[in-house]
Amino acid sequence: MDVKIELRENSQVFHISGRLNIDGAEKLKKEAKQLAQEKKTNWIFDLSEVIFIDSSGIGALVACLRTAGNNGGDLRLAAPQSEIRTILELTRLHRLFEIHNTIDEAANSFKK
Amino acid sequence: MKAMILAAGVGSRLRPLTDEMPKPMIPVVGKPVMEHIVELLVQHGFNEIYANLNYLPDAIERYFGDGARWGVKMAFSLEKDLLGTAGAVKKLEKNFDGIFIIMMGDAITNCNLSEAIEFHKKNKSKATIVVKQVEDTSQFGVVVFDENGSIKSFQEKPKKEEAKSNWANVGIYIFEPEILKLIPANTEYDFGHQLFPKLIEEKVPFYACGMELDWSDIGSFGELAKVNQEILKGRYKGIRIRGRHDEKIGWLGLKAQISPTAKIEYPIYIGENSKILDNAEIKNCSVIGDNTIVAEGATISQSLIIGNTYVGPNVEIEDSIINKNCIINVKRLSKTFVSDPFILGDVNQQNLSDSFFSFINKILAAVAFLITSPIWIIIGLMTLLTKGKFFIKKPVVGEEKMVNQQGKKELRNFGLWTFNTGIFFIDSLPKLLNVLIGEMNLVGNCPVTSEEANKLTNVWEKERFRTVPGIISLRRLSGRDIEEEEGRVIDNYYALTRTNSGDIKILLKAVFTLKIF
Repeated sequence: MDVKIELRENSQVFHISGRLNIDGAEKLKKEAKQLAQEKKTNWIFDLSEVIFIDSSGIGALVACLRTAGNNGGDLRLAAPQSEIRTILELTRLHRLFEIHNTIDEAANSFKK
Repeated sequence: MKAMILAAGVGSRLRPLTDEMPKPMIPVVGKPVMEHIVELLVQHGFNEIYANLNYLPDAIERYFGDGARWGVKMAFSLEKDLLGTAGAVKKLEKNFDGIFIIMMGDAITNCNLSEAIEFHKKNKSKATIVVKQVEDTSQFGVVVFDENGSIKSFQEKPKKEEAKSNWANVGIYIFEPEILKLIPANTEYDFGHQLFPKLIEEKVPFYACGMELDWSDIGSFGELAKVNQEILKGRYKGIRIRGRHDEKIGWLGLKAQISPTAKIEYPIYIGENSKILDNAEIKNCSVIGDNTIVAEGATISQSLIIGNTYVGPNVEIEDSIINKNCIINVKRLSKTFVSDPFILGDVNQQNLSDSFFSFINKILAAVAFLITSPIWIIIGLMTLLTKGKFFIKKPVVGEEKMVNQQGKKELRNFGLWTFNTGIFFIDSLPKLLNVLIGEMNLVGNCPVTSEEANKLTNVWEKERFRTVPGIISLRRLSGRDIEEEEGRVIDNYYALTRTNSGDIKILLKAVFTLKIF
């Protein structure tokens, strides 16, 4: 799994690609923690390139949501592939997260 | 009376369900479609049933056996190369000496067969097709006939405005045996495209029997889901649902258990040995197949679970068809494979005990490593002295792993450690390292190179990759002089039947017969 962070005006986009499993989860949480220390916590996770997620990956998403919330920010998910969306629905996470179809849509939701 | 069921189809539109079972074995409210057909035939007095098989034939043959469970005589005709619908019946010509019926093994119906046969006899017909009126003709072969039922022509899937009739062929045919003389032997031959036009041409008494009946060929996931729900709602009158009826629940299979805190909305179906745990919710005509566990707090609505499935705690399933780790959303038509057995999985896999078993494997490997340490030291010294390369790592493949959520699978690559002394027993020792780092088990099929793996092209041969590879294989224990083909059968058998306790038995046998490596 690979994470690239893009800093936008009001938000930070995590471009995540590959397999979000136990190894990916650790990496993602580390990156998130670092940004939290810099007090940048309007996060958008771009899931368009994620091809695989398991419970550790889901756990990381929830952990990041909590980290963002504790630091006065929020986490929005953007553009999951239909398979990933199915798993988010299966685990009822679509109720916990705001899921947007595009990154821009998610970014705009922070401006309001 | 005799009947033939056409059961050779693959059912490719229902993939991935039909990857592991042929379409006639897909369950509809807890039993295979074909069993519903067999029961219908039995109800109408048929006592000899033949079926042709081609795709995954053993699944059907194993289930129905000789038919004694249904009080009929059943026999199967295996087609290595498909003969077409009519060709398949022709092959069994010698068995049909009187009036007989042909039905599709992958379509469910409650057709009154006795009435259709009565119609056939009354009209002195030689061939009769059962037809039903439909709204949308574009999915059916349409039959045009006069007021007496005598067939004039056919139309294949006409648009509604072009259709000359709205009577659809539902694949139930009644024949006199002489009809079979019109079918060429050992040739691919089709009823709809070849035999029926010929019957019209040769002016054979050929009739359509219009009937009111419920019918579905479960041709799509949507149809499959719908049929299950309709049966629970009381359509398909005459079809028997297995299990005990309960006014508050619906139908319950043998040994099905429901927690008192589970919320159930009538009518649902729960299959044999299935468990609905605390606070789970099952509603909107859902069907839960056999051997399924719905864990605490999970919700299942308007969905069908094929069977042998574990649905994890608090999981929410709606408008879907589930089989083990695959979820098909009927509305979005998306198929997703879930890799995590705690969300959705196969109950036959013992995931928790597997991780404990892998731990035991590591401990035993460490013990074996300590016992054999003098050999390691000697070989190490020899390597130093001769500057030779005694320790080699060979790239091999292990078990199949899912690589993305579309269900794509690949074989896991890893390096197999061996010594290079030429003495088999010693050369195998470093494989203990593979066990210690968790890449192999002590017992399992031998890992192979990817070239060797590519040579295994048959579906059954690939089953060997279901399990983690090991040092001691069942094939090795069976002796060294077995043929390659036989060895593949043993690998396959091992992969399909392995259990942790079975592995321990193999290990002990290997130790006592000194066939360790």
